[in-house]
Amino acid sequence: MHLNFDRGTLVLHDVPSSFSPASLPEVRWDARTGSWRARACAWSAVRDELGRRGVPFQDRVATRHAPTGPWCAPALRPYQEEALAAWDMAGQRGIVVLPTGAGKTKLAVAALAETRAPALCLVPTRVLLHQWVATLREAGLERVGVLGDGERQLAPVTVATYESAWRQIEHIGARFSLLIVDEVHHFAGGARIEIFEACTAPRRLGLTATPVLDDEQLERLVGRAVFVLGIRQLQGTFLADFDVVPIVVELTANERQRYRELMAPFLELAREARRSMPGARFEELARAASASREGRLALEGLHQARALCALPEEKRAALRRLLQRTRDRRTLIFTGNNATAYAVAREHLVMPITCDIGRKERDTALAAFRAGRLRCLVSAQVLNEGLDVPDADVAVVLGGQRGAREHVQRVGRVLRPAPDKRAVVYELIARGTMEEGHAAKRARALAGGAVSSHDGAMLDAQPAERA
Amino acid sequence: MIPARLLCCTLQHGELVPGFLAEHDHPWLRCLFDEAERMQGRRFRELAQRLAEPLARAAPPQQQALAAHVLQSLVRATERAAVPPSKVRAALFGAAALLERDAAFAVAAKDLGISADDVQASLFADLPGERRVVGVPPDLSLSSLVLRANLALAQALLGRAARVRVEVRGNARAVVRHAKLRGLLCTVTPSAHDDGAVLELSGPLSLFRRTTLYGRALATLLPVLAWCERYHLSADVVLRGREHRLELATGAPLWLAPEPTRFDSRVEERFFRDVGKVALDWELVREPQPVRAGKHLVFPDFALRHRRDGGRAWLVELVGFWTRAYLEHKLASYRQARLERLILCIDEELRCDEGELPRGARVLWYRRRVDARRVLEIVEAEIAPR
Repeated sequence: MHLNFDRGTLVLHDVPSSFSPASLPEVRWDARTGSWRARACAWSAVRDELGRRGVPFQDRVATRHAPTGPWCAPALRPYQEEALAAWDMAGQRGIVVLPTGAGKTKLAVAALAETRAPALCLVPTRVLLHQWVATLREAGLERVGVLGDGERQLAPVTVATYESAWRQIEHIGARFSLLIVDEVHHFAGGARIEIFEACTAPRRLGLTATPVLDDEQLERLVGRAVFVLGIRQLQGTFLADFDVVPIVVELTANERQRYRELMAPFLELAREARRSMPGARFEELARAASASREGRLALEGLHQARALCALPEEKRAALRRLLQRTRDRRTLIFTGNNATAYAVAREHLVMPITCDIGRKERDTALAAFRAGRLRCLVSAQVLNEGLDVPDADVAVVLGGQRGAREHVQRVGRVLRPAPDKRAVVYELIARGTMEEGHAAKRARALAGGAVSSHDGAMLDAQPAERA
Repeated sequence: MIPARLLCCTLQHGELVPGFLAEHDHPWLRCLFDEAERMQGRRFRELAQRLAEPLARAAPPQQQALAAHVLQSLVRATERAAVPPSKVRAALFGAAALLERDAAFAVAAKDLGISADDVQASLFADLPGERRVVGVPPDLSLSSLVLRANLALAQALLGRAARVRVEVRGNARAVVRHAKLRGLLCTVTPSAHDDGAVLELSGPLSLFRRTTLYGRALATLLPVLAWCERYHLSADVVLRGREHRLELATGAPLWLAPEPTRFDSRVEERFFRDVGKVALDWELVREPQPVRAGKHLVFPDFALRHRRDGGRAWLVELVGFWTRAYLEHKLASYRQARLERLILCIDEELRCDEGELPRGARVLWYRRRVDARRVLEIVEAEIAPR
């Protein structure tokens, strides 16, 4: 009997008539091809079970790889050592939760150096793709594979964007024995979970700053949270001390009127939904709403109301004052969307870091920020996650679209420790709008609360219209 | 693929009915066209904004959004900047770190050798929304916009499909070939109604879950299907979390893509040409009728038919990448079909299995080019004793 990899699945060939594979884990009869088939992720379980039962088989999935390297194993901080040990103890499967800036990538490099296993590292964005490649090269690895941003070069250790991995996993799923997933919370709720299913790698390491709750599927395919540490636990030691300063601004009379008009259809829709769909999440509500013209208009109104809250007059004025006050400090401004980032860039002459800005220019800007030639950067999403942002000590949050999880990541951007450093996070909140509810959830998440896989959606479901 | 908000379709008796554009939409589409033309020289984001606003002739909002999206994808735009915008940003934002606004503009302008107004105008001129509209392609007609929008809609719906079933007549082989090239699993059975075939298309992981992983591959089938004599497609499409049936058939008003290539490889193409030159008594038929093999159909590459004696016919199969299991499966299919007159031409360089070939195959090895004369020798030699 042969065990083969076939486009993200395992296929059993030449099965002896005396043996029925139906009792093997996950193996099913595929009438389309007249063969026994299992998801690729079941490879080690199938192989172990065949071995346990003493069934002779030839494993054509396993390819012999030379150990990867050479590696310069990084020096780990005590909590990173603990996290790595916890992952080892859990059979080299599971999710490590560490705050932004606490060295998750370093932990991943340590896992790579320890196992010397051929590995696929998944990252959410092109920006992080290049950062990971640079980090792996710094760790001594001469050849690093790249999948994404127009590159398609495979190596025993390959970094891929989620998007490219999703498209290629059928072909490359059997090449690796370790799967590292940066910002693993993106997979909560089942999106693109096929990447994990179509990959044979038995060792799996998920990395995130915010633990994911209630996601059995993710737990089955990557593992449970094996180590959890929040910002507050590292604050003042390995992360800088910080203050969060909410600044509540008023909408002008015109803005408030417009906001009410825009929100009215959605609030009516939400009231109706509370009656007809009790307990429904925002995404369920939106799904139901998008089936009718009225529903779509209500959702459009909600989007426009959000846009209005993104940069109303008083936020602009408050931002101007803040930038004057923090003129000598390195400042990151976070917006809810790119349009607001460009508006801030034009008005306050701040360099934007967005997906539209090319890699070379972005790297130059970050280097200038590091050297102090730029004092301020503005971004909607690119600076949220993972990107190694040099020592910033002030964050100004004008708005966000991805809820509490995004906020925890953003706060982490200013927590790189330095002598006598005390970082400040200013949150600008429009009074009497949905932003008040969002801010309350962000505060709870920052206090150390776990975030459910539906976090962002729940935030949006409860616009706090009080005016 | 177009975003979910543009999927204009209705649900009728549990079936998805795409809101295809048609000739009666031409009046408002003409307005859309005119608006796009009027925006020449303006920023692309202004074009997008204008095309989203109400038109002089009333238009169904979702269909307008769909047509506007497709039209925008066809409109050409260009960057208009005095100096490369990245240089402008570096100069201006660098100066702004030290100076007040007006002084920063003045310094940047001096450094770049342009006016302060040009600094302002060039700052983000390279962003997609800031590029200037050049115009609508001159060869784009209302009818072709309609068909392109419809194809985009149908493909986006199929992109959300987990499996597809197609009943097809004529050119079925091209569909099967395309499906296999895209990594899909394709089972082919004879049609109950006529001499067509029924294709069931899905991906390996579809056995375990409802997945849209193969949606993109499934969506690419549509332009190939359009070249079939007749087709009827049904798919289970996941929309807003629910599964709905989608049916498309011959005559659906879709943009016709270029005809799919007739040959799988250059080797096949060359073989076809070579036989034409040397085999005066024989006709080489590309993609002959599928052959029933048990419950399924198989599609031979070529049939070699004697021009004067129709009873003298052979099937020729060109095999590139192969394994013993693959060949055995192929031969078993042909045996099941009770086909004796079969020649396998096998690429020596591409073989990946050193095992012996199964017995009973008439095999001609080739390197880069199948020798048409040798194929004819085999055919004539086998025929001679009869």
